[in-house]
Amino acid sequence: MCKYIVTFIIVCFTVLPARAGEVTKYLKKADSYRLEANAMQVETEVKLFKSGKLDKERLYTVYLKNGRRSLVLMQSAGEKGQKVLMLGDDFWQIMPQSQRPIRITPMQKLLGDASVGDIATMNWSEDYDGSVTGEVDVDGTPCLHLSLTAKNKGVSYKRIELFIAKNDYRPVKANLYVASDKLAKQARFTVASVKGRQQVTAMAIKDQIQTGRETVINYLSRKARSVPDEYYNPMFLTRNDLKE
Amino acid sequence: MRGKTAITVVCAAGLFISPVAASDVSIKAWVIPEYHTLNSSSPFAPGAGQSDFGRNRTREEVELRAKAWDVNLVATAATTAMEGKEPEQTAILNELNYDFSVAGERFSLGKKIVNWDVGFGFRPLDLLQQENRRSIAATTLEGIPYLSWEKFSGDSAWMLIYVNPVQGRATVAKNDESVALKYYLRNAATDWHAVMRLSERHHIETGAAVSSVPLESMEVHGSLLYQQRFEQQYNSLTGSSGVHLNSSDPMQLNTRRHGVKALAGFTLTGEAGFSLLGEAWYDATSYSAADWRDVKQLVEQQAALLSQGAPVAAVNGNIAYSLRYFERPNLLKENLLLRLSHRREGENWEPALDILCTPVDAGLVATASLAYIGNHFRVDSGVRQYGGASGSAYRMLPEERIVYLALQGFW
Repeated sequence: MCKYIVTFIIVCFTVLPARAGEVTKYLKKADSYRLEANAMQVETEVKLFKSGKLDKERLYTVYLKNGRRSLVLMQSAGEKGQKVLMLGDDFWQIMPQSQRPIRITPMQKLLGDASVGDIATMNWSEDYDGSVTGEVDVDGTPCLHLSLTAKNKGVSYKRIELFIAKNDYRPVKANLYVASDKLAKQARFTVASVKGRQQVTAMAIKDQIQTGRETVINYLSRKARSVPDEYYNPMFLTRNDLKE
Repeated sequence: MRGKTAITVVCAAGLFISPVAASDVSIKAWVIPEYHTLNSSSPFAPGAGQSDFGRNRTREEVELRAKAWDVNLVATAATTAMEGKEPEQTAILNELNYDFSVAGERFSLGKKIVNWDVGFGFRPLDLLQQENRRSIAATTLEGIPYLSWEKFSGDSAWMLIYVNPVQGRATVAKNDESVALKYYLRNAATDWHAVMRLSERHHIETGAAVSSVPLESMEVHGSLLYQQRFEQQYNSLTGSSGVHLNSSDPMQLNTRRHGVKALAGFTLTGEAGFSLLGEAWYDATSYSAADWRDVKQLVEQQAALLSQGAPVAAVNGNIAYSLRYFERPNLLKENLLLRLSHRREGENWEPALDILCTPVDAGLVATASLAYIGNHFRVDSGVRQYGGASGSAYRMLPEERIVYLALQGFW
């Protein structure tokens, strides 16, 4: 019995922290396929499919900055002028008809044509922690299976089962679970060489609750760009001097 | 704005957007037919013929939105065809403003929509914009001429704004010249807003608002405004014992002191896509149940004069004057609003039901709506029913129902 207790203590105090540190390292490597700098401007195209048929297309410009800050500008005709600001666990939205920044809840950011959380979140290492639970093959790719739980309350998914390629840590597949621990979505990642660098060029998300629905997020361009901190002030959303 | 002006605005807009990249220009076209059913049992119904109540109408609107060199333009051209009236063409320059910075300070000037409150059914802190919250199709508001100086830090911001320059006290309160100061502070999950405004009509107005997200699914908000002076419109014939008809407009604007507007509310959003909004508000500038009893008594006395041989035109015309009681954003001081809606991510349909009630006189307004959001179009349809207890303000509205359809295309 004493032997088991000693083994348990050793696992708790040595192996698990090492594994946790290892997970952070893996997540940072996986993040580097979507987020190549601390501050970026990303142009995204979102296509929503229903039963395999294209239902809607939307364009978004996303500004990201360290400190879990992101600003989403809707660019499609029907949404032009809408903006969503995310500062850590806090969110604001502005509609062009009324021009007032209003607070929205983490739940509200999941509504609309496409989840703003899916469009603007490109970073797992700041929001999740977890452990390596095994090794599996996903579509013929040997992968590490990471079980992740949210560190922050404002994230869209409370739990993620992430599969990253064992050889280069690129994201391959993710099962996304909402607060009720229901499997909400399943994401698959397309990685290709862009300007000599391996990047996630698309993320296909299958809705597991509303079956038959699929969202494909295509990353049209990424460039390092840091906008001043005041742009991430909720009241700045009413101004137009953000150079796009 | 009439036809020629509309053409001028559209041409100016064309010149403005010609060098602009196509991605910075968007156009939205609306057609909004509305079917209004007259409430013939309303004591105000005899005067409705001299107003827009009960008239079916169609509004066609084209909205242009463009942006270039930190200049933002929103312009609307519209035609409203109302039953029994000539079609009316309007052109509105909703926004034309330029944002710039000098020595690190942020400035802005032009014409812009300026909204400050945190509420939905009522917005006490919208001192400048003064939006009609009871419109059934939310078209873009018309901004106000302004010059502002803003400063932003990580968690706070302030704005000094001068609106409607050299207008003084205008005929319509929205066009009044005024200067206002707004302060914003973000404290973790809570936003704080404080405002102060000086104008000839209201003298000092000051207030504060708060919006907070205590839970992932819940937002709570509230606002409070104090007005040193405010105005209320009354029919001077109410309470008079003798003369019940007047050959000139009997509506009078009374100035009162120490007005208060207050609002408290919440939104709850569940994982399944249901959202519930609840709000309660008080508006001292609106009417009391006693005011409504007085004006009801007056219009009933005026209608009774017909049997004594009074001219129909004089009676109906006098009743029509009192229809201006219905022009207030809130018909009564105390109001409650509940709104339940449903929309999931990527879902095309959005049903909603909202109920506004006035507990003091048991008045009720129920609106059921259904929206379909497509790729390049949106369809909104709904029905609004006015009712409640006999003698309540909403039951006395000369309309009992509005059925509407709003077809919207965007490119």
